[in-house]
Amino acid sequence: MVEWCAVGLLTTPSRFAGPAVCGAVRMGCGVAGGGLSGGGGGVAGGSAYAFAMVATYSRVGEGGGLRAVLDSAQVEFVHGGVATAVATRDRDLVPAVTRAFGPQVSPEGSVLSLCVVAAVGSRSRINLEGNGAIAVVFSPPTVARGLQVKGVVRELREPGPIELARAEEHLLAFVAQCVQLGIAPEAPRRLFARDDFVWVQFPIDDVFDQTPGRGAGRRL
Amino acid sequence: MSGQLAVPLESIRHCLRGVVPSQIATCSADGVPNVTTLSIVHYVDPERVALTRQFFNKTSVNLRENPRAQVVVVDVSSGEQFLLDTEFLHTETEGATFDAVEANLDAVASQTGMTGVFRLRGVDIHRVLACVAFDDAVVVAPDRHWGRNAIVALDELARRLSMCADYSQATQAALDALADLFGFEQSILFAIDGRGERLFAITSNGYAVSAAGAEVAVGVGAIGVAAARRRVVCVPSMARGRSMHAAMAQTIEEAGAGWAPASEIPLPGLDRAQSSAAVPLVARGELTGMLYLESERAGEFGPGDERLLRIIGSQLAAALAGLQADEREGAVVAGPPDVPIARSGPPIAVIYYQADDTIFIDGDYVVKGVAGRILWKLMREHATSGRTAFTNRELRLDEQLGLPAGNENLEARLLLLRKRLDGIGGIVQLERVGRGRFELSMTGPAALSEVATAGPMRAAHPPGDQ
Repeated sequence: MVEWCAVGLLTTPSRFAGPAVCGAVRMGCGVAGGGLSGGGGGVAGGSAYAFAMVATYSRVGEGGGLRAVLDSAQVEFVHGGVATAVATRDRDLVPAVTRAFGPQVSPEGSVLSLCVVAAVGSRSRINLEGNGAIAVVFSPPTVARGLQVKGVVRELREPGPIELARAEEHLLAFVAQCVQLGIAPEAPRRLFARDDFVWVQFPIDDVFDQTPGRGAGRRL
Repeated sequence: MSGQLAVPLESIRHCLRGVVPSQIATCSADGVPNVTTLSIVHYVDPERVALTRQFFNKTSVNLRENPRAQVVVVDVSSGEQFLLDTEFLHTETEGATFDAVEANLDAVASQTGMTGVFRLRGVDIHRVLACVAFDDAVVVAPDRHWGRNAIVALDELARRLSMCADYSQATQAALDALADLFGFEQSILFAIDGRGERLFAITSNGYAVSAAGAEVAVGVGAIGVAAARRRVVCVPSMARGRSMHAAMAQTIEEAGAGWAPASEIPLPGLDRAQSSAAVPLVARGELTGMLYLESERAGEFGPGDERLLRIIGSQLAAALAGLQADEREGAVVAGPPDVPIARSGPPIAVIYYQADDTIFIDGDYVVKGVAGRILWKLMREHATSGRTAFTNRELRLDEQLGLPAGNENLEARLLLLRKRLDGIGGIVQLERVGRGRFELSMTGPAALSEVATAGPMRAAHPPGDQ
């Protein structure tokens, strides 16, 4: 795997050119190439953001396209019991939003899997099965940081016991955060529609900072 | 249009308070979905909602390309969720809807010193094409409908206020009634200063420590913002607001922009306050004070309560203004015969600082500003002439006190003074003895000291200030 790590201030992100960087540091032996798939953050100007200022893209897979890789802090954040919402869209580009639980980032940080609340026949389920375009935002109820990842679902099936157990763990952590806000635990538990889960997995094409503030929407 | 909605927007207004974040999904013209968190989904009318446009750069771009969106809102008390399919219509950067949303956001922002940073860029008006429960099992929970109960409670509030003989009595009756009749257990009543720049707490209810004497600046904090805008501001989820703005402050600090948050105004409050409401008191078109309510329950104050709170504020403001006018008109020029002050107790050390009219009694801070000047005048008069009986009228006519003509809020200042004196154990007391009359009493002889200031601090506190 060829890895290219950009360290510094992200500037003038372009959906098609990838993040431009100041003071980029090359790691490994390759040079970034290829286009980024997925939607963009669409905000110009560079300033620091809440996460570590490291955007890493890797040449992975048989297609050799660039793919985002979450760093350890971002993975920890995603695994930390944060509220998770999912957007999909149909062929007419009508979006749908739903919840998800039990996100898990692959060891190398480039693939995300999670249990999405998408009952058979629901718009989200039809969209995931139809075109697979997906955006997932992670945002804790107690601390207003946010991270969004995008990609296209490659695998979709009923969740297994391990994935359901992970979703249950996520729920417990999420409930604990909600309770800190004075929200009765019954409320977040109601979001947990176990019977409607579908397990999806997709390579991460893009990562965006969703923390409120000037950096919101910036591609990482 | 609203008739076509499976779930009418009116029936889920309790979900449109911003207590917990909502999520909005959009899609770009080339088919890439986007999802982000919304601060506020604001009810506009049975067919439309307004969504805050703050930092949602990609959302804004997508909506210009493709106006369709879907928003999920949650009832914080039950976890019930509703999906709103919407179509973006336009963005408003001014007007009634913008003002209503901005006031709420400003209040939340200023609570953590983020004023000017958490800026509302606009409100995106969306037509709601469909509104459905997230799952079919959802039962729509009724909002806290006051209905006829509100009328009964307001009637009783009016009755209690009408029975009050003076300003002080009315303030206490009002706060008691708010707890008894409406369940608003924690409340603080503020009066406005002569310049209309600061609010000073005159009495409170439900707190371990009295709020009397605490001050907030108009335009700062939920109370100050509501005062500046003359409108009710409900903050349904204070913890969320704090966390959001703390995150933003962190972001800005990391950006090295050199921005420093404004200092927060210290006020007594609930340690675990989750929601609050600030209610302007407006009488005869003038802001006379503020009523502040707090609750440990999230979502206690929301859009459904604003009208009720406005009526309460109007009732209270009218009653207090009327009683102030009574005191003014009923004041007598000559007070009752002076009675000797008991001097059996130990001497009382009274220090007056000219710089800001601060008074300390036996080492304890008592009061400052206009109320400090009043107390100092009374104690000096007593020291030189033995007087104990005074009238409101003579205070109004005393030019040295610098009370702004027609807007001196004298009864509020005297009430504040009485509360503060009560707070130091009653060694000095002011007792109302009739309409427009009061009496000074002390447990021992007073030793007065005046710390003169002729420098800039004096100039910084001209008569009429505070």
